[in-house]
Amino acid sequence: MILEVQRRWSNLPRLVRIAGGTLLFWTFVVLVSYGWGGAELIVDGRREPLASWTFVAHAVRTYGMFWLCSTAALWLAPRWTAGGTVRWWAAVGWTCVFGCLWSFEALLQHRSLTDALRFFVTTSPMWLMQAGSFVAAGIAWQLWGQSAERERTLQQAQLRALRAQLQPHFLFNTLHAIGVTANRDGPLAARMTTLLGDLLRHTLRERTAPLVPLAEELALLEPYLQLQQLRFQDRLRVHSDLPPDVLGALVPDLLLQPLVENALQHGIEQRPGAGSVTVSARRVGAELVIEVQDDGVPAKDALARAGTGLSVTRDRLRALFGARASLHVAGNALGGTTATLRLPFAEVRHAA
Amino acid sequence: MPPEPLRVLLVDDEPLVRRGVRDVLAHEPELVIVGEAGDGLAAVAAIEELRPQLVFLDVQMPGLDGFGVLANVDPAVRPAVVFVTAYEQYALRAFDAHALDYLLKPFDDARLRAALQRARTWLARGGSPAGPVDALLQQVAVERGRDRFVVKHAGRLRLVHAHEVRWVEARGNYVHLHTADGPFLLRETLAALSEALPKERFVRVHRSALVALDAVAELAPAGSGDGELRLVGGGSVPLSRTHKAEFLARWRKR
Repeated sequence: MILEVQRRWSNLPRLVRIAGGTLLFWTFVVLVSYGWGGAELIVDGRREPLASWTFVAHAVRTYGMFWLCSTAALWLAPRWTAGGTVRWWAAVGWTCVFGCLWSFEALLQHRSLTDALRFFVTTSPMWLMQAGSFVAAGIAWQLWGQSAERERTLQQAQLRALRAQLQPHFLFNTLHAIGVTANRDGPLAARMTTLLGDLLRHTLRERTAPLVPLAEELALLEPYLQLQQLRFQDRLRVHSDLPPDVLGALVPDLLLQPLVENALQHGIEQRPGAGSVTVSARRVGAELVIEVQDDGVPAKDALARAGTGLSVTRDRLRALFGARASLHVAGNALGGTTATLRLPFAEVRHAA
Repeated sequence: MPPEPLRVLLVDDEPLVRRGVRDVLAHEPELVIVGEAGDGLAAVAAIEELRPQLVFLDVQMPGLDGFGVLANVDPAVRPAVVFVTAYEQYALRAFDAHALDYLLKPFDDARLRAALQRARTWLARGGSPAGPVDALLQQVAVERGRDRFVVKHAGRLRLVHAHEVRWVEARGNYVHLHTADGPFLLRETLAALSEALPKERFVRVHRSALVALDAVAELAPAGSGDGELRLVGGGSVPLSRTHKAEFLARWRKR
């Protein structure tokens, strides 16, 4: 629910978000200070009731100024903050500009330069504090926006990974294969529906954590590969090399599936005759290295097609690990393509 | 005299699917399955060799897809076709646009028999609906460009990808596709190829030559305003006066 509000809110243009947020804030302040604070306004010796237009006009004039100031401050805040540190001149500049503006108003009212100067000096700590709090609000604002943005990228990437798994092409072909098998080998057809069921259940499962143990990810891959093997029969061989010490390593869920699917497409579907796909993982220092290798069409040809499928994986890696993870695709000695994935090695924490 | 059985070829990259179709068609009278092919190139070879009257043709296949198979078969021996597909939206739109028959996976025996029955009806009416298939292939060639060609090399069929081609040389009703692996003879005209090859890459440089812009290393002057294009990796192609301006404009813009 909160995420949903955050998502909708962060889709609005930045200026609208800032102006809307500050308007809410100052309206609240007006209500509190005028209503509960028991403010009164005397005009021409007559006490104005709180609900009068004069009162509203006064509030709008006074707090409208604050609203404009704070909107401008938040709008400018990203320029005042670089890498989380406040540029001191921004706060000083803010003080000067608004201090001068208000002192000028004092000058107009009192027609005395000394009064205006005194006004400036006495109010400058207030401006400085205001600038400081606006800048702080600006930083908080930015961080919040970044976390929302990051959350959104992650969710989108995960959705795309899901959609890749539920590829209609794969589903329809598998259903057809089951139908054909049912005529000749009932038990095998039943087995295939079970596998398809497993795959769909895994895919539709509610996801709580972005990272899962490699073993779990492989369990998801299993029904997919078995179904593909039944479809392509002797045209597809699958090998795996997964030492036990990597099975507990944490990986983004649905990470391997697009890579394997790519390998199948290049290794099998685009290539006449039989082909093989190898999935291997190993720990190298502080990194987990996963390789998906096929012996299909040469990399040059495969790379041209690799575009969309792998960009999903790259986006997810970037969202989760930044520069600490990478995906590299290149030709291999078998005449096919190898996708090499490197990410920080982290294991499941067992409850002690 | 008993009627000649219908000669059918099954083309699909999944053995299971071919077996399923075979199981059903085996019970059909007046029909003989002359062969099966598991990829596009094998399908082209099988069609030219076995001369089937009807092909059940999978659209998505390794190497050369269903459209590629038809585009690379000699039109004189092109059989009637029932397209088979799982989900290619592009193909479905194309079939509907040209009123061609197709089978959607998953399909059962009843739908397969119905498709066969419709095919027998066209064939009885005097052959395959060549017009719609021609229109379909033309649409595919225009919209997607032809990116692969089937050539005969050392007695076998081979695929040549458009990106391998450096230049194309006309030889009467044939052309030579020049690649790093040598020239390949293709039974098509230069005019047809200049339509089919991606226009952003290939440019006409001579009455009898098309060249890939990225394959040209340098331009050397030749007599009377003509020129000679030296190619990356050796070889040269003549540039005629009439095509010089257009070539230069596109080569410089590259």
